[in-house]
Amino acid sequence: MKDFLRDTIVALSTASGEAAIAVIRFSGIASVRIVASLIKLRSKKELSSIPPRTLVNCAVLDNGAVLDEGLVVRFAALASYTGEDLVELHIHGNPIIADRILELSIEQGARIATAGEFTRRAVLSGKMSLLQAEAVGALISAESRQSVFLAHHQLHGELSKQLYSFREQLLSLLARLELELDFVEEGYAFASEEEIQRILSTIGLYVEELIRTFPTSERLSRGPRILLLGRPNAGKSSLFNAILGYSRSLVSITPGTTRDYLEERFVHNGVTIRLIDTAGLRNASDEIEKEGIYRALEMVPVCDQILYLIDSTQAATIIGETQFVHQLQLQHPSVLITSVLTKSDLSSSLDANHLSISIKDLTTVKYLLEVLSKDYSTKQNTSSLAVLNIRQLNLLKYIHKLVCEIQEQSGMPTEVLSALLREVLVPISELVGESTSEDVLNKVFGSFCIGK
Amino acid sequence: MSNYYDVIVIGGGHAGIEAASAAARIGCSTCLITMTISAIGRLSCNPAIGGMAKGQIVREIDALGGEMGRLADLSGIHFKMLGKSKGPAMWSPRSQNDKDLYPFFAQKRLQEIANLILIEGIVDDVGLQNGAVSSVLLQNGRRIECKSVVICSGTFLSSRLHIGEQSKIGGRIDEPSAESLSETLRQYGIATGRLKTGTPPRIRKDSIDWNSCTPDVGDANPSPFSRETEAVTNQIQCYLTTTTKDTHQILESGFDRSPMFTGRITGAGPRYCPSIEDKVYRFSDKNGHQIFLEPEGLSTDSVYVNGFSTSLPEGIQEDALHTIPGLEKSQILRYGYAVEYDYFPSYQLQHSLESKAVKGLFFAGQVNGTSGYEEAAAQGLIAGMNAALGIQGKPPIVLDRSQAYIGVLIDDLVSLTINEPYRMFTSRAEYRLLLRQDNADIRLTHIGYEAGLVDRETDNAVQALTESIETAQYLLKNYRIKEQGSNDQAVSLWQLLKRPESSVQTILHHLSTDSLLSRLLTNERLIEQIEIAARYDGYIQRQLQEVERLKAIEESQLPSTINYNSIVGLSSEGREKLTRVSPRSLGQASRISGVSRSDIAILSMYVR
Ligand SMILES: Cc1cc2nc3c(=O)[nH]c(=O)nc-3n(C[C@H](O)[C@H](O)[C@H](O)COP(=O)(O)OP(=O)(O)OC[C@H]3O[C@@H](n4cnc5c(N)ncnc54)[C@H](O)[C@@H]3O)c2cc1C
Ligand SMILES: Nc1nc2c(ncn2[C@@H]2O[C@H](COP(=O)(O)OP(=O)(O)O)[C@@H](O)[C@H]2O)c(=O)[nH]1
Repeated sequence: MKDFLRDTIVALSTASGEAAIAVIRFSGIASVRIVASLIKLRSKKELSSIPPRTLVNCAVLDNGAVLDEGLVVRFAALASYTGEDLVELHIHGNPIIADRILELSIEQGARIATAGEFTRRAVLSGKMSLLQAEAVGALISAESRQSVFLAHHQLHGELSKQLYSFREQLLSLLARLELELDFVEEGYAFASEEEIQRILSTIGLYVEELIRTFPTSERLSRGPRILLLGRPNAGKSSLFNAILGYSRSLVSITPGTTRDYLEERFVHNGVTIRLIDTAGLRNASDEIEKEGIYRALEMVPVCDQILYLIDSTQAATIIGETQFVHQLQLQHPSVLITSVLTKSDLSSSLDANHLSISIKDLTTVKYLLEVLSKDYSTKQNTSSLAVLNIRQLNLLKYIHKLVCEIQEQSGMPTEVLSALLREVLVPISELVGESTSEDVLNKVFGSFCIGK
Repeated sequence: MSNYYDVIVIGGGHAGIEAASAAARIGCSTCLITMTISAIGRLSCNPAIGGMAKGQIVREIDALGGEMGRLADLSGIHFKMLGKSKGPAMWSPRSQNDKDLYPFFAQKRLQEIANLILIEGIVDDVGLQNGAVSSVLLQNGRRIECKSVVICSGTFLSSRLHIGEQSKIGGRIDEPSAESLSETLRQYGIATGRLKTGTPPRIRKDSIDWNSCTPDVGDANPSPFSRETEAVTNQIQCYLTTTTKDTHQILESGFDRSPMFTGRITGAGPRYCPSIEDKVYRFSDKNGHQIFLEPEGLSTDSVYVNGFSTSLPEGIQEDALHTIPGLEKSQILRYGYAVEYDYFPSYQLQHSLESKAVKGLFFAGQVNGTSGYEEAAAQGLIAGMNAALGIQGKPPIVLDRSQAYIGVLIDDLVSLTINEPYRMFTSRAEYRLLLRQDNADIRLTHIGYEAGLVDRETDNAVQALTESIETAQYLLKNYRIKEQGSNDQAVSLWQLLKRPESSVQTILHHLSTDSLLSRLLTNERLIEQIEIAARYDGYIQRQLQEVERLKAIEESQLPSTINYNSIVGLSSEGREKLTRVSPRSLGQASRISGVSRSDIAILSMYVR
């Protein structure tokens, strides 16, 4: 590990597989030398003589023979993403070519980067804060426009800024408490009870809001999960297929982890929605029907919303079904349950309290989608949200716990209060990356894809 | 007269007293060389020992087998536990001492120690052989051979005294300066710097109108510093008064002529505000600052104006004093003054207080950039012990930050960049709740015993106490009773004890008098420890967990051979500071100012 930071690293920075272009990225002291040995510039100049941030044409050579033609750009140390000398080689997106270039680079002394190593170097060289680095991770895996927005927000330090300000406030408060303690005989009182409570409650509320909206922001970054529920023949599969048929932006067909459901992802209005159909529940037998419902209900906690389909042609059951939905909602307060009347083309007994749809009339399906995606794009005031990962969430919860603990106790001796405030500082500092052990760094970067 | 000693201590201030006593009592032939034997133990500034954070240090010195606690008890004339308005971790014992008796007892004590010789003289030079200390040279030409030298020369190296715009050569009022020693050491590559400190005026007792001042009485049942002292008594009363707006105005008029006025020049934080000029400047919204009037002894006319440290011109000192209630007609016996002296930036030391550059050369006290008798004594004790232990081929004693204020002090000294005299504050200790004056013996006696400074009997007694405290806590936590009125819920006695209004007294009636627990709960020390533990219950555990959590990084060693210049990615400031300090662990590295978080991350990858 000793020479860890001296190595020049290389990685394919775009997704592997065939594509129009691919970008291979080099970072480290030897990156210009290594790339120069692999290419010939069309202008016949030396790569090192080309000004930074200028894209120029080049040919990639493999033992004298032209392997590919592409573009090359270099970034100078300090002014690059990693803070080191950095070169990007843009080539055709053919895995065979990319692999060969990586091979040649290794022959020239480069090393394949480990997961997240480019960003890790950026943090170590002080180019970005840990929190920003995590946001980069989030940006790459963001699955909706909202989360891209949030990731940017965080990248530009909104959350850091807020946390830094709390850190400052606590430090200043602590400094004054300490003064009071160390000069206790001189009778100075530098921090009032009200001020302490005010700072604590500001921090407490902010953190609480972050924690409260965590499910939302997490949902936003992976896309909401919507479960289709309803009695057999209510029209679940039909709706499922109608939506997917309508939506051209089908992402992939991933079989559910249990055989009991099907999950599909599609993008509507920039929101990735995961639609889950509880398959295998279509047996008419009463016993099995119940069991099927129960099994479907096990899915409820991991979903963000339920569309409960009610067959509008079965007028006699509508009231019972509506009551059932009500009960279900009481049992699962965190999940939004929406009842939808199906087969509206066949029925006249519709009421205004329910959304109604018909697969025969695509505008009703489209309307349903509008309602759903709108829910996820406007429901939250995104500026107060942040893209959080579990590490961050746990730190926030810890901060919240400590803050509440302090707020609950009255008449705590100043020296204990000071010790507790110092404790609050630890997770805050860790969140903004001001005091972090190697473990934290590993945790953060372990989940990056290679090449970032 | 012998011409060889194992250990030579230079300087008989508070550091030198401890160093000489410790080295001799551990078993090394020791010689203390100082300018004037009758000045040994002189209290240059305030005739008081202890106070916030410093009182804890005195208790620690006593637990380790040092001298200061006993001397303070013997010469003490007014005792008070400070910080009583806060919890027990803040309680700090303090004594007013007779300024003549303290040196008297110090000299008497040193003369009694076998193995220890006192020599009057000024040391000009330290001789080396193969990079290790081998002798010292006195101004009178005498050379004395030795294996180790402990430099405890305080404020006396190339020192200058200042009052207002006047200055003269001298280490303390009416005492000379040692002009050669720091120059010699510079030639060995040891860096020096300059620091300043000040002292307030002394005024005549009968010129004070005591009726305008508030008496500040000592504790009703004063407790001594040392476990060896049976009891101490209060023999005088101190008085309190405050500065006024007029005082501040007069002081402000002299700011531009104050050599000590640091607030404006360096913006040093308010924690370091020894001078009245600084206080007036920093807390400009305050209309008055407390002034304690402290008689300097039983047989002297001199009163120390505590809280009024200044080096403003004489006329301004006088005018300002006369605006303070009670001091309107006060006569100044000696004006406040400041002293400026050479010190040796302490990053040049190892945690043992031995120089990194010269083997066998130790530094302790104000020469390391600290201020205060207690800080000096603590270092003297550790340096004296380690000089002796080194000669005996034993490993040095290094206390860590969770163990003692002394550990915090030395770790700070070797890690921080010190631009102003370093004084101990309780806030420097991250484990303040653990480092209390009441448990210093429990924390440290055994270490003193192993070093050879504490007798076996004392060590056994402290260990027995520690064990019975643990037993009593265990029993209290497991002894459940049903509380009357509360619907038959069983609570442990510990839970009862934790309630704010409880004490051991209030729970005793739940126990039969012949139970083990009631028998344990007759020991006063044990009761005290139990009550404090109950009061801080949970918080002490948390601090212990924190110590545990940081253990990995504290124990992650950085070899002294690391070439920080060869590690790519370190910031240039971090590289410079790391090279200079050469920290022994990642934990220490993380405390060096200028070493950034990413420097630490890079280092931790490097040592993996
Ligand atoms: C003017 C003044 C103001 C102070 N103000 C404060 C204050 O506000 N707050 C505070 O906490 N503390 C203050 N102190 C500091 C306090 O007095 C010292 O911190 C403490 O006494 C230092 O102890 P020491 O053992 O390091 O050195 P000192 O007590 O200074 O003793 C040094 C001894 O070494 C001897 N010596 C020095 N060089 C040689 C040599 N070459 N050869 C032989 N003998 C030598 C000297 O004669 C002296 O006996 C002040 C001191 C002075 C002089
Ligand atoms: N006319 C009409 N028939 C529908 C509609 N939706 C579903 N159906 C019919 O209702 C029956 C049951 O539908 P299905 O999707 O299998 O129900 P599931 O058991 O809930 O999945 C099928 O015969 C569908 O063709 C609709 O909107 N209009």
